[in-house]
Amino acid sequence: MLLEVNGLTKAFAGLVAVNEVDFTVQKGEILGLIGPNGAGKTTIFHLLTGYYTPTAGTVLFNGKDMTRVTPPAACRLGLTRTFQIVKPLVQLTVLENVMVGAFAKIGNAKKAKELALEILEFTGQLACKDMLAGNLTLGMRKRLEVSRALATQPELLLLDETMAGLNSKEIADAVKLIMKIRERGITLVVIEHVMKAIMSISDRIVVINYGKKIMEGCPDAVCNDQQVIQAYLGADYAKR
Amino acid sequence: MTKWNDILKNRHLPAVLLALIALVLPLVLRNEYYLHLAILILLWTALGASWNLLGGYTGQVSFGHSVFFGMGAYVSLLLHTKLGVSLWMGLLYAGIAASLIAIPIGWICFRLRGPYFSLSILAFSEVLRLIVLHWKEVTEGAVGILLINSIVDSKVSFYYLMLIVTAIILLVVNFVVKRKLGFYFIAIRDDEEAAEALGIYTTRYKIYSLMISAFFTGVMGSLFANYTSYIDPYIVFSVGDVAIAMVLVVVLGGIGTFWGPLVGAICVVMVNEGSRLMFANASVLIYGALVVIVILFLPKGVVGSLKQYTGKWFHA
Repeated sequence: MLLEVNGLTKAFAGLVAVNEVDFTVQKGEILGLIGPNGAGKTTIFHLLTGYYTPTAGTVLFNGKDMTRVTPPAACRLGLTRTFQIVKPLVQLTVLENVMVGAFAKIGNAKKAKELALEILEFTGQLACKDMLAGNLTLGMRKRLEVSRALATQPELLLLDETMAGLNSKEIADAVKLIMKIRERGITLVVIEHVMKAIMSISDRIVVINYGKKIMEGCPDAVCNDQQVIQAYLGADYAKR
Repeated sequence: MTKWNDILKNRHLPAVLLALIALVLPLVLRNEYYLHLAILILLWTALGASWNLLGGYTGQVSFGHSVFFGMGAYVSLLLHTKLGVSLWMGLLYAGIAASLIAIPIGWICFRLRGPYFSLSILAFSEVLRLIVLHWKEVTEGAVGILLINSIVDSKVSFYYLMLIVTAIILLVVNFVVKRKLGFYFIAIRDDEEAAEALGIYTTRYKIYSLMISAFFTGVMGSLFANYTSYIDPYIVFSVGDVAIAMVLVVVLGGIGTFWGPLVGAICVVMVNEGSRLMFANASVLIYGALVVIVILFLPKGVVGSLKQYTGKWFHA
């Protein structure tokens, strides 16, 4: 078991944003995390990577307790996330952005650059390596988030809506990229609203609503679950 | 012909030309006053470059670098006058002392962000000034310390000493920003949350940046003390004349750019001297007006704005 989440809870004053959520992630799989806006998906990512401290519950990553971990420590342990609202280092080039990620495990600038170039080729961003990150289109920025996170050489990668706002061709490319990342031996947890995409890439899906896990299972089972349809997908989706 | 083209296109050319000019300058400037101005420009270039590492590259704007400047000045002169430590070693000890005091200051102040950080470090400068002012048994308080024999005796030798130290600081800054440390500093400046997600212990790296910046500021404080041969708490811990002036040099020249501190130092020293000659007591007014004009029309500073138009040429 790569990741074990037990009774994870986060309360902000009176509001319980995440309420006793349990799930596990196996090595090598892709776990989809879906649910309506405000359900608490991103909060879960914040809790897993140390941006928030859980009110209750435990997170075990490779058997190691992550409940009190800080974000940089989580990254160095092999658990890296991307941000839904992209955070490019705007005054650095694409290559330099990815080098910053590479420095997490590599001290030498030359070697970091080699890894960064390899990653950019892998993600298909080599052509724009010398562009300033601040000048990229949204699609490229989203992809840069992924490239940069990959450069930290994670074991588990948390992708937070890397397809939101992309056109259909870009979404197809993003799906291909996620499958390629899995082939690299990296385990993924993916938050996504693009249903077609998440259903096609995920091995299992966890559905969150009002901070609670309402369903967990393979994509087909989730699509046909009455509760999920009511809370999130809508009746139309089930008929299709 | 191609050889000349290669030389002209070399990106180190501006630096090499500047170094050559700086080396022969005392031979041309026979006038003591002009040499004094050149020394001031070097002083402010070095101070600006030190501040720029933290403020420009790491994005932590300090309004209290006078704490390190004063620390350096006092440590080297006190060690010399009370314990007989050589002034040359004093330069080193000044840097080390400033760097060490940067650790607790950074540890406390980096809990705060943005303007709160800027102001909290200013408070430390004031605290240290008051300690030095009132701890008369050790520091002589407001009487200050007079240095009988300075580290070098002629203005020309002082110029070269200043030139060497300034060159070292610029080279170290250039070295640092091209390596992991520099990438991490810039990442922290551009987006702290993203930096953390990429494995950067932001507070630790901010303290590293502050320590390097403080080290050089301390060395310059010691050199300044040697140059003026007299220090008191009001001079070397001055928020206006030291800490804010350092910010202005960099903001005028171009924050986060390699040549910004030099350009800013030239502007500040020239305008200061020029307006003092022409307007006497109104010089501060002129100075203030200049700052307002630059901020309005060249918000990225002289070098920052030039960089926008000329592309990579200034990117050293």
